[in-house]
Amino acid sequence: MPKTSVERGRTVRTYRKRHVLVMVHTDGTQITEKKIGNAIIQSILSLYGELTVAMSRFFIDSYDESTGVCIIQCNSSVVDNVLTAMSALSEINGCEVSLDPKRTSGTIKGLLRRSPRR
Amino acid sequence: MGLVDLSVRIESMDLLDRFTLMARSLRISGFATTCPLDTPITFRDNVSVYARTNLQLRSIDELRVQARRARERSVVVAIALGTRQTVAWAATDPNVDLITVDPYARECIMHRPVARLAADNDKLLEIQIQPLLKTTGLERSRILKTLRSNLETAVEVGMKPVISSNASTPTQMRSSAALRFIGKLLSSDEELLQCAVDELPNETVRRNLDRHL
Repeated sequence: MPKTSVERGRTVRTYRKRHVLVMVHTDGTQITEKKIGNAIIQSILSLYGELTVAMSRFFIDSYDESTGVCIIQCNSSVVDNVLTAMSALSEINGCEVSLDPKRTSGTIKGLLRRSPRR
Repeated sequence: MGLVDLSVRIESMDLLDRFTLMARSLRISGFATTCPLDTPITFRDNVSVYARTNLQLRSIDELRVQARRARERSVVVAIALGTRQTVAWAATDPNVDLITVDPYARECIMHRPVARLAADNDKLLEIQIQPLLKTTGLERSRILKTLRSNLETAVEVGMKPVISSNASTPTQMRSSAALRFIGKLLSSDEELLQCAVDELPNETVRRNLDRHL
């Protein structure tokens, strides 16, 4: 599916993004953003298959290794699948992890503005 | 009140602080563990630690005595889903709270009449997510099949499920939101999952603490 299409001369987005704030808890080992991204994609692939990986448009916006705060973006139609795959992830390259989805928003600005809640 | 995790495996009391630290960062208000505690409930860093006993599968008479003793010193008493006779006994015994699905024992399944009996006596079906986290591929799909079929049978006859982590390390613990998302692998009923993760574990602990007080 194309990211945008032209309707009546205007460019419109054909899918909606969701940004999710995730807390990454580890056993003390530092993990890079790339490794987390790859592990989440592998988990989506294992649980839901290639089609969902393709549809997910999964991307890590930012990850702070010192605090464990990670912001991801994905397609809103499969956000639940992405969060399930993320929650089911227990290990990245031999390091035990627990990924805790905190909150979801349509924009990063909204995600950071909103008061912390479940 | 935050999440109460009904099953956490702590091998020694020295590790308790690591679990309570993780529980606090995941906003878990309390958890039940089989680790020997002096009292049925202990408070550590604003986290309640409840004593739990897993009944060992033996004869019915032995189980009856074991359950009565466990009730006196534990807040949560559970038994693994075993033979039909054992589960039928557990379904009616007032000292048992949870019937735990063992996803590796595929021959031990929840039969509809026993599930109905358990539902009538307010017993809960406990589903532990730890095997789902530790496996991948075909092995995980087999576990999913076992868990889903037991859950389906239980829900059909009105038996309520609870979801617990059965974590053996702090990083295997999961927050309420993460448990609900993992629960979506087993059921798409959001209301059922909310109840299984947030409400029923709290209710079970509160009810049993009232018995102890």
